[in-house]
Parts: sequence; C-alpha cells; structure tokens
Amino acid sequence: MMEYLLNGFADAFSMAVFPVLVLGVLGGVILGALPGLTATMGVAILLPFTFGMAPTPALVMLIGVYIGGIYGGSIAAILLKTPGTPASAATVLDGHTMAIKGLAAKALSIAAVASFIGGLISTIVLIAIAPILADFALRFNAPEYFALALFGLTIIASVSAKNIMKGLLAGTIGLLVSMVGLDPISSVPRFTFGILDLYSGINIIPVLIGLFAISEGLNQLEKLSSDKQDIPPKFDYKLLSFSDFKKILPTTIKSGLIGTSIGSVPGAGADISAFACYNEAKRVAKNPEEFGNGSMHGLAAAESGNNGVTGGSLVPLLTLGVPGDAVSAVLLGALIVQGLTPGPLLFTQNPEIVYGIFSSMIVANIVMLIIGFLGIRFFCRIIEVPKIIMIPIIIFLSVIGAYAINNSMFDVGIAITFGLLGFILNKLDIPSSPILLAIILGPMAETNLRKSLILYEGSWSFLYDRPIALAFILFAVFSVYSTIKLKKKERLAEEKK
Amino acid sequence: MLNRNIFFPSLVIFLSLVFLVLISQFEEPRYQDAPVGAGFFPAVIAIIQIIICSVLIIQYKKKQKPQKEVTLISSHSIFGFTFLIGYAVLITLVGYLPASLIGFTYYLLFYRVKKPLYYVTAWIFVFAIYFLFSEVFIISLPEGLLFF
Repeated sequence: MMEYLLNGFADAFSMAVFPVLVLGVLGGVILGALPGLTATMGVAILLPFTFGMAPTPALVMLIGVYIGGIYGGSIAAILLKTPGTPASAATVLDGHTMAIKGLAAKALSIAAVASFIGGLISTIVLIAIAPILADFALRFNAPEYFALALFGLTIIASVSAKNIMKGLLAGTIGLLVSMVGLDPISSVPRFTFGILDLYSGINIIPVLIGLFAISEGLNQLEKLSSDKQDIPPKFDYKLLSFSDFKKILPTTIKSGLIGTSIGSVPGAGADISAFACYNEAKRVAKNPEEFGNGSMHGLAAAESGNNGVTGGSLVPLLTLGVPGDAVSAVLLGALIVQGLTPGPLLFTQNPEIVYGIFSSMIVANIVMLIIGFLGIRFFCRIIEVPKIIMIPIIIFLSVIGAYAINNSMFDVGIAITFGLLGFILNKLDIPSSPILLAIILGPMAETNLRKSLILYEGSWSFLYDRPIALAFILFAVFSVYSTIKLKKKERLAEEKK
Repeated sequence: MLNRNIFFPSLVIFLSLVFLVLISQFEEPRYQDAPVGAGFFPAVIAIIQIIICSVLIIQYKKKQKPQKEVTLISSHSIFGFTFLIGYAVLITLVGYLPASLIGFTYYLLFYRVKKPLYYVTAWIFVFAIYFLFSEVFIISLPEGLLFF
C-alpha cells in the first residue's frame, strides 16, 4: 500500500498532474464562492473537459474541484451571508456574524484551516478504513435511513435561535415544500396544481439562493436607507492565532471524523454533515450561547464537517460503486468514462489509480489551504465594496445562479418566491436554516419511513428492533432533550442579566 | 393594525387547513399495498403546523409585553421587491445582457448615485459575468423571448 501511495505522491507532483490539480482546486474555490454554482455543478461542468485526459489527471482535477468547491462555498457564506453551496449553509450562522464583528479575515482563515483538517482526516480515514466503513454503510436499509433523517431533523431545534417553536414552524414549512411533486412511492402528484415544472419537485438550489441570498439582498436594501453614509465596515487582517488554533483543534478533528462517517453513508451529503457537526459542537460546548453569535467552534465544526465528507463519500463509491452524494455520482460517471469500474475490483485491478486519487486528495487539501490563505486579503476586499454596488451584485448573481441550474426561468421564480418568504420570516424572527434542513431531509425521512412500513407490513417495530436505527433514534431523543435543556439554561441566564 | 405575531400563525393555520382539504383530494393509486398513502406525511405535517401555530399564539398572548412595532415592509423593501420582479420579467423578455445593463443602471439612478466609477463597475460586472458564464463555463444565459 505504501509503495502505491508514494508513487501516487510522485504522480501528484508530476508536471502532468500538479498544474491540473491546482487549476481544479482554484476553479472549485471560485465556483463554490459563486451563489448557485455548487461543487456538484463544478464537477459536472468540467467533466466533458476530462474526456480526452489520462485517468489520473482527469480524476485528480475533478476531485480538486470537489475539495475546492466545498471550501469556496464558505467564502460567500462568511462575507456575504450567501452560502455558495448548500454545504456552507451552517457556516453562515457563525462565519457571517464574525465578519460583521470585523473578524472576516479570522473567519476565513478558520474556514480554510478547518476545511483542510476535515479534508485531511477524511482522506486518511478513506485510505485506512475504507472497506470497514463501506461494510458498515452496507448494513443501512430503509429503517436506518429513516432514523438517520429523523436524527438530522432534530438539529432544527438546535439551529432555532431563541424560540424553538418558531424553528419547528420553519421546519414544517420546509417539510411541506419538500413534498411538492410526485410522491416517491406511488407517483401520485402532490401540491402540483397542474403545473408541469412542479411534478419533479422543488429544486433545493433556487430555494437556498432565495432564502439566503435574495432575502439578504432585500435586508441590505432596507438597511441602506438607515445607513445614510456608506461607511465601509471596519475589520482587521488578523488571521487565526496559534492559541485560537489550539482551542478549535479538538472540535475540528471531531467534526472531521463525524463528517467522514456521515459522508460514507450513501445519500447523506456535506450539507447534512455540516449541520450535524455544528449541532454536536454546540451540544458539548462550554459556552453554547456563543453559537450563532460568532463562535469559532461553530464555524470550525461546520467547515470541518462539510469537508470531512469529501473523503467519506468516496468510500462507498470506490469500494462498492455506490456514490455517497451527488458529486461522487458525477465522479462515478468520470470513472466509467475512463474505462474503470468502481467497486472492490478497482483496488486489485487498478491500485495505481486508486492510490493516485488518495495521494492527490492529500495534495489537493494542502493546495486548498494555501489558496485559502493567499486569497484572504483578496476575498476580504469583497466586504469593502460599497453596499450600494454589492446589493444588486448579490441579486443579479442570485437570479443568474438560479437560472443556470436548469436553464429555467421557473427556478428564478422559485428563488424570488423564497427570497420574499425568507425576508418576511426574518422580520418575524423565524429562522430560515430549518427550512433548508427540512427540504434536504424531508424526502429521505418520508421515503424511508414508508419503505420501512411496507417492509414490515405496516408494523412500526423497525423503530426498536434494528440496532443501528434504534441508536439513531436514541441520539435524536437525546439531541432534543439536550437542546431543550440548553435553551432553558440560556433563557434563565438571560433573565438573570 | 394587524399584529404580526397573531396574524402570521393564524395565516399558517388557515393554509394548513386548506392543505388538509387538498390532501384529502389526492388521487388514489390503482394498486396500493402500502400501509400509508401519499397523503399521510403531508397530513401529519399540516396537523403539527396547526399545533405549533396555536402554541405560538398562546405563547404570545401569555407573555404579551409592550413591544416596539417595527414596520414589516418599508418603501425600500417595496422597491426591492419590484426591482427583483421587474428584473426577472425583463430578463425573460430581452435576455441577460440588456436586462442587467438596464436594471443596474436604473438601480443606480434610483438611488441618485453620481460617481461615474460605480456605473463603470456595474457595467464591467455585467459583462464579466456574461463572459464567465457563456465563454468559460459554457452555461447559456437567458437570451430573451424577444430576441430568440
């Protein structure tokens, strides 16, 4: 194995691969930072360019885009409160608050370091225990997926700011939105009102753009009237200090490991992982009230968690041929185009390719860290752009981003609708993140609950007679209990003040 | 004046009731061996939504403190809504490039921006995005119904 890994490193630094890898990571960072352009989209866009390339540089470039894209999403999330990708929706919670407080450079450096550590852990785990993790994920069936989704949904309570009921209300709105379209089991149209575009359901990207980017644009526009003079925000270029690094390291490592585990479960992507890691970091934090108010731990957990998925999602792809998320589904296509069949045989028939990918992932993470740090000064300039110019830029990018997903004006309409909804909900102190979380997890929960009921002939016993499902359900109960306890503590502390 | 803390939950309760009526009208598949149908999950969610909103109204009534009412929608946000919708309509009709140039310029004129640099930046941005999407990423931008 070591021999293949060393050869892989030699390949990664060769003139045929290294420039492609740097370009891939850089392209991924830029794509990820643009709202609407996700890592999945980046990999999909660049896929045709790899058809004429040799297998290693082709796959390395796409993996570079993947790693860079997940990190890139955090740049817009931190600076513009506009998550570039769904994976960085959790980054907004603390990252943007830090930027508002004048700590944009620090937030960006934490994001870069946490993404690097998350990605590195993920790759190391991928190399070391890929087959074991894949075997664990193989035991997942409908009841386990339902329990996992249920556990994910309990995170809503944690990201609900002050009022859990308002967060839950947002969550139910998201769940109802996720049910628009053809029913996944019986194909009965639900809430489609005869509109053909609604039959395939509501795409999450325009919803994300609307809720976070457009509503933020409208919020800023409103503030413009109160800020008579357009004073550029004050911030310093102080990066993450060594003492801060030591503080966030345990959270970052833990989140990287959680992210890797979540990523290795097919169907659970970087977005779910980021929220799950954020929730876990908040649950064990000494000062959980800091979460949502610019907590370094919250930001590090979300970023390490979403980049932790990059390696994890390749575990089932490479060992079983089952993609862990949308990006690895595109990578599966890339492997097939190159004449390779993902699965256990890939390790024996083409070990040089597999270990070449592993080595390149480590190098890609290092390149991402370097680009992240070198780019901080440049990225920070974004915040100095006068708001009067920035607002239409956000709105235009949002509209174009929503259109570009499917070349559809219908998606633009969805983005605008959710933009208005997000703006109004913000005024009512109802958080937007639970809507997104519910849209991601709703279909997973519903489909697998109904599949489980079919499997168990109408009996609900799958909730307690399957150990993995039971474990997730217990985690869910514990998560809700600890959140309620935490909120109570916060309220008491606030009343004392 | 309508109180938003009562009005919004009441609106959601009303919509949930409408959803429950719609759910009862979902088509039945010809063959159904599943214990729960397509309406089960949405119905549960709609009922939960009604309960949550009722709790929110009770919560508000219980601890009703004199609160400073902030306007829900200001004139600037109304401009924002119309600008957004206007831009979407314009882009459908004339395509990305003319719509964005007109939209950005109108927006700057509306806010009485006098610095020429801002106008130049806006136009450069519009062209840069056009180049990035159509030439680099090869993603087609809206061409407009009038020029198609």
